Amino acid sequence: MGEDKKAFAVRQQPDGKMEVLAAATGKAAEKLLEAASDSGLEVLQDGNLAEEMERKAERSVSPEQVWDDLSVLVAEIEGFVEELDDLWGSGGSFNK
Amino acid sequence: MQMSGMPMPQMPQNFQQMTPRLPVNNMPSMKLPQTRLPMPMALPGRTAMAQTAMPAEPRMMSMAALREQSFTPMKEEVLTATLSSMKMPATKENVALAKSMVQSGIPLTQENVKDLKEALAKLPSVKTSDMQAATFLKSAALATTPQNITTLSNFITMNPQLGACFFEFSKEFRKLADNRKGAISSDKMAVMSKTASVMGNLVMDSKTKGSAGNAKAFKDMAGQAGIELPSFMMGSGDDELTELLNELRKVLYYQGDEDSQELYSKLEKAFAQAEDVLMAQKLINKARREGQDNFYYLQIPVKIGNEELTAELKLYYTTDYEGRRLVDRDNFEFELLVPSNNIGDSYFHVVMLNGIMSMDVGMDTPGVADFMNRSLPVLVERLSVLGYSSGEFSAYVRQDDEGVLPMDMQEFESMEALDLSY
Repeated sequence: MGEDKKAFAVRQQPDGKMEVLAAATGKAAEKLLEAASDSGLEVLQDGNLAEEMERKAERSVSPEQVWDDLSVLVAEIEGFVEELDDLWGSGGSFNK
Repeated sequence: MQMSGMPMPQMPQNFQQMTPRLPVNNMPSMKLPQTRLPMPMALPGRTAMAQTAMPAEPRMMSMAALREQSFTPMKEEVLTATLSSMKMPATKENVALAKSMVQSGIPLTQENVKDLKEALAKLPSVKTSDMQAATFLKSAALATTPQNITTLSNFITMNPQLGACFFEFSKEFRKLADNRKGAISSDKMAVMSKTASVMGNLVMDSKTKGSAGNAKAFKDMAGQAGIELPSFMMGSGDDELTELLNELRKVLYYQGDEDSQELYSKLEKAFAQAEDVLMAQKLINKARREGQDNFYYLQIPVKIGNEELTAELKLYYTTDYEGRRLVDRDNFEFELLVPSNNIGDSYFHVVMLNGIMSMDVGMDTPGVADFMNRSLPVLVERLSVLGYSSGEFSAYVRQDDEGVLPMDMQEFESMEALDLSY
């Protein structure tokens, strides 16, 4: 790891946000990486750290958000099957 | 290998056990502050498997390298031999219990067998499904009480469907209300009416509720099935239905009038089954098992035509180092079985990988599979409106037994045994 590189130890909060627990540069970053890894914490390192953290925070969502998304997805699939069932019964198709 | 500064784990007296072979990513890992490797086995990128042995001296642990040949196909003879070594008779019941244990990933130790036998002894009689239920509960560190075992066991054997329970309750309630109107007290009628209404709100019905209403019904149902949903509930509480059913039980048993007994009895049967299904789902959703796939299981009552059917969902999740359950929005997997009148069951296996959704849909016959294949582009288009990027979508003819399994156990014949005795 070069002197200009940084390492952050992060922990995910229940609401999905990432909490930065420690940050270091250079040789101290190497020690931080080792200590954080031993503690089971996630370690981020590279020049695009901010971008990476933002991406992770966006991707990791709370259970509430997941079920909101999933409820819409399941409702969509269920509605699709019901339409398909009606079409099959009437001999029609989506493509006609 | 010498392990300095670490307490030695307590070794069971009889350390012989069979263990299912775990995928590499489920292998336990540990930090060894000081190691002394007697052979050049630990090359970067290579997986090494080792067998632990009793320590030759305090604070020492010996490990011997294992090779592929160390694993042998799992057979009943392996179970009987292990039971014998634990001085337990290899009766039909003991072998069946041992089989259920290894299928659930429970180490076959004397202590575990004893615990489970004690739990099962509290039942009037023991069926294979009772053993499966008990081992499932133990593998998830849930209480192996007679009630929990019976609830799950009935769920495995009878496969009750919540949609049918709701439909039956509603039908019997209407009969009771029509035939015994004057004879039923208003408070009793109020509880029954509210129960029927709450059940109705939990049913997905595209024709009357639309997508938004169905999404709400789905989330409300998840809350009733013991799935942790912090604050989304709008109107109904997490346990509302269970509480209403408890209330109903008191009303019917303690204030029932003789003339309505037959109608009450049918109503009672319907809500007792609904109670059991809800309880079984709560247990399954509470379970989190080490080294196994973990998932939420949900039955979703769905109105199709004039029938109330039941869709089933299985959503896989991971856990973080603090044990919190996580679903990554860009990488998740679920199975959804949607029943219908004309095209039969549609079994969706949905995988989201790096933000791209793929879907395999199992159908009952080649004709409907072809119809589904031709129609899937419409679903892809609708999902893209919702913001989903789509990968492969295809339909196929599913096997008879393929579907959403609420308590899947590893197939015994597919397992491998590893003898750790020495």
